[in-house]
Amino acid sequence: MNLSIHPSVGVARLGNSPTDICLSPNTIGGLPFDADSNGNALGPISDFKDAKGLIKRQGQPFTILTEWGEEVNLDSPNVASIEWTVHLANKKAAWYQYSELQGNLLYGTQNSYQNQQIPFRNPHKTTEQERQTLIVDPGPRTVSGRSKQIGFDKSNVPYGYPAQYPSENVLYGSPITTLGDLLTDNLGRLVVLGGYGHAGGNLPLTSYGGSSTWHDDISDGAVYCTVKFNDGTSVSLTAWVVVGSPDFAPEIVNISNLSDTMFDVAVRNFNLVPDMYSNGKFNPNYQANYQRDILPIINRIGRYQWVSNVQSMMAFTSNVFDFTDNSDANWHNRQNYFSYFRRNDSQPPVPPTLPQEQLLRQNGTDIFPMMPLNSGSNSVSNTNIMKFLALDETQLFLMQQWANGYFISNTNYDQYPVNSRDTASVGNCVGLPMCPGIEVTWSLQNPIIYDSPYRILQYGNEQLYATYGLTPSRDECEGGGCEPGDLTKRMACPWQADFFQCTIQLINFTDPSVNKAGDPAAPLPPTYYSYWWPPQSPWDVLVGEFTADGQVATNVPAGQQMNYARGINSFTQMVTYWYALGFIRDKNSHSTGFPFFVETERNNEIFTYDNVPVSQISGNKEDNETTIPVFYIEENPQIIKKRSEKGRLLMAHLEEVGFKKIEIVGERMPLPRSGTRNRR
Amino acid sequence: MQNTLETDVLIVGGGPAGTSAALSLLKYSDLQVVIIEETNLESIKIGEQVNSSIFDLMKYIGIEKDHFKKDNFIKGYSTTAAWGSERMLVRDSIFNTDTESFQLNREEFDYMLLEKVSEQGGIIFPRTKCLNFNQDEENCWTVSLKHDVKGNFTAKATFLIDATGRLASVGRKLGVESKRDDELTAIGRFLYFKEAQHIKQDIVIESIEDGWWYCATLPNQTMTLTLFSDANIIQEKRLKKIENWSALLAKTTYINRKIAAADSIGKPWIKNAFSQVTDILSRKNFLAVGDAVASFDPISSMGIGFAMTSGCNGAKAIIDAHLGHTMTFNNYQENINKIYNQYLKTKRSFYGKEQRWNNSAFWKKRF
Repeated sequence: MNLSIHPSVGVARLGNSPTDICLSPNTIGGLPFDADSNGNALGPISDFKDAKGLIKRQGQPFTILTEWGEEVNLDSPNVASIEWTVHLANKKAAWYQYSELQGNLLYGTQNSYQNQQIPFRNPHKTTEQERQTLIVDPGPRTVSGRSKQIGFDKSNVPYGYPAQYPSENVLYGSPITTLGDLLTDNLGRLVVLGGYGHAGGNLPLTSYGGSSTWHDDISDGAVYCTVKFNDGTSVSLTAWVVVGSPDFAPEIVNISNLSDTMFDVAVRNFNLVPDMYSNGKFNPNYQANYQRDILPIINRIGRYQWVSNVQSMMAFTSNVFDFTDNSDANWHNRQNYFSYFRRNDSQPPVPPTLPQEQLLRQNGTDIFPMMPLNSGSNSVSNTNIMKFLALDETQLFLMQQWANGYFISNTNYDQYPVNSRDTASVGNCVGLPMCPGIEVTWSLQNPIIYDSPYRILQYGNEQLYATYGLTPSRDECEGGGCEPGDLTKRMACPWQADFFQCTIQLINFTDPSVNKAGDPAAPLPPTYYSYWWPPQSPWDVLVGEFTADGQVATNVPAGQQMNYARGINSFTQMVTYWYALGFIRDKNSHSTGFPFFVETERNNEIFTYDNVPVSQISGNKEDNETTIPVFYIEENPQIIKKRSEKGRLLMAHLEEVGFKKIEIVGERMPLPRSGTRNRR
Repeated sequence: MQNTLETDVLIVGGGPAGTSAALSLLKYSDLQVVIIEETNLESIKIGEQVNSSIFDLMKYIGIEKDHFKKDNFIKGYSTTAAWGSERMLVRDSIFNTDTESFQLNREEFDYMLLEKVSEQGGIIFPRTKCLNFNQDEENCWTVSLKHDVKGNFTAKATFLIDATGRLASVGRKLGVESKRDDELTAIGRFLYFKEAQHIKQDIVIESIEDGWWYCATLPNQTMTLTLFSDANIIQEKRLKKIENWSALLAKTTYINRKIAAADSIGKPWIKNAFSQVTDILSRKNFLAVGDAVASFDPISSMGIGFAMTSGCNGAKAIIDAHLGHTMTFNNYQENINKIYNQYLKTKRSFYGKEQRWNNSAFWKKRF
């Protein structure tokens, strides 16, 4: 019997609720599941936040499956015990400053961190020994049996393990005291929970990459399992888990997600689908399936409209012709459609062929943005430029096959040889662009870190870590496999900095060799307003408060498109109030036909709202009549409370009494002016 | 005419002066009262010190002690001041305040007065601006009003009261004259303390070359920290800029120590604090109450008490005038002038106690 753990790379997510948890979705674009405190699923998620408005931590369940897909758990008759060990770590503070694509060895060794002279985070610590102290490494934790639990806090570090936690005194934010918890459910399955979204440091946050002295409680690491059978035999299995920030729009999928990335790596390097790709070449006769390979890409492009304003992508995904028609008569339509898809730059790019530096497809004087219209993995710095997004190579190949007519459209298709749990977990993470991304970054495009399709290659083992601790500066992209903390160490530290700063990028589209110019460096004009990863970090959302009472709190009518992070106006506020952001949810998911995504569960009471007349800026009283809505966080929590209750109720009461009096005395009041003074 | 509301007395401003006038009118006459309040009741209010005579005033306007909420007044506040010397002294020994003093939670206090006005049949329009004022041959007022949401309407009234505070915005529109004694201006910020942080309930005053600092503990783990100086000094030294303001703060000894444990600091606000007296007699059927008729240096702690007294006296003048008495407005103004002149003397003696900066523009003009 051949056993393996699924998902092969699990994805848990931070939350700040001390009481409630949920479980990761088991499909791409699916909703998480409500769960009891032991991690037993209770059904599709009701609310993403607990009764106090705090985000539920999202646990990743791990299951043992036979090669035939049957589950093995503590109820299986031949199983004596199942013991799980997980080692989470956070290496961010010990790694290099995030410098876009510099350091990415897929661009060659001349692009290594050393050759590019990229500074470390926390550069004042210089020796390897000092740098090791920057790692948050609680060591491994082990759990077995049913309904058990253990935390990654200081109180249960394994005896003798050289565990490390950052200082409990921080000037900004809150200190890191744990990286999460392990649970076992009623059947002895593992559930990994990440941290609470704590982040703290002593220097002000100034950049999307974060600042020195900071730590957060993001992590990743190895998952081990030993299954003992009644006949005395046992097997040892491994997997990996990544802890990411909350997925605020779980039903909206990235056009190129992390499962697409792993699939692309596996197809081109691990012989996953030999029919499609072998001996270094795609098979030009490979038959794609529209339903499996093409439709999801088009749907994802179409769904960006609910979290961003990319009208050209909505136009592009409307059914302008029958996409399922593989006939020659439809050849021109398909070829024309495919011609809008941007092709890949090579790594490193070789001028003058730089398709990812091209914004527009031109036809005479006509223009239309190339697809997908999104930032590429480096529209920020002037080294290793990759301005705009292109699908990954395998996605583009399948698109090409479709355009050429080598496809069928059959909903009853054969799955690729990857377990659906393995695609589901990573399929809900960002795959492209990677700058650095949200959950993980471009190191996941490098085949050298994988053991096999969708499985991470591990460096060393727990004995080695217990003896020497984790390595602070070893680059796993040089080979040899990953340690706990390696998959997330390139991400912004803290993650809130990148999340706050990077949803939009103004990208120059005229000079392929420059992103930024001037001092201080700014995007070189002319620029195009482009998005980074709106499915993970939404930007333009429909307000979905449908009750009169609720609208008093949102200060916005239902259906108005608003900025998602309105009211969070600084890095520091994002570090404290990330949990106040709403979740974008399909309110028509039980009906066939159309999704209706609106913002829900935003903690409106935290934000204060004002209409600021333009005259306040211009000094011209004539500008009084146009106002701009402004949201901000009231700094004194007592004031928030008083305003929302006392002051507001009193005002409403007085107005009701007063205007009733007028109605009795005089004629009716004029109707409110149509429209609104708010211009956005 | 459409959307017109008729009343006997129209009061502009819903602070303690306006509401005290309203409550007096409602209690001691059958006159109808309407209050127009420009804000949505959310503007920043700074806690103030009052003495025990406020309870007599409250009783006069019909508010019994059991109406007070627990944290409306905090008793037993001590005030210390480093004023005239580097040493810290109990304030009474410098300023001769007589009776027991209380710290007022202004927000709660103002809400309570507004609620009471509404209960007694007064009509209040929050979020409403006065666009213009017209007086006919019979001295009756027609005021055009605009509510944020409901739009324009009109109020007609026999009497008009300006209770809009230091800016006296109704009086200024009507062209009544005021005399200003100084250009004192306050630049302050709120400080917030964590729940667990114990903060001493008191007031600290500390003078510096360019003016003086005032720091008071408010309810709910909050403090107010304010710099008082003259408008021209503020402009010259650019004290509206946080860094310059903070640089002056750094020069204090006691205040600096008191605020050291603050968790966060709010946005700066600026308010006028000048002393001014207004002559209302140039218009008929019009009077001003509170800061709008006479405003005082905050060091005097006269603000709230005077606001309420003048509100009550103004109401009495109107009630008597309505009964046919003449000269009631003249008597009211005379009384105001008397209080103001007495205040100017007291103020000079307060400031005369600080002799350390004889060359400072701020102190020189106040001896």
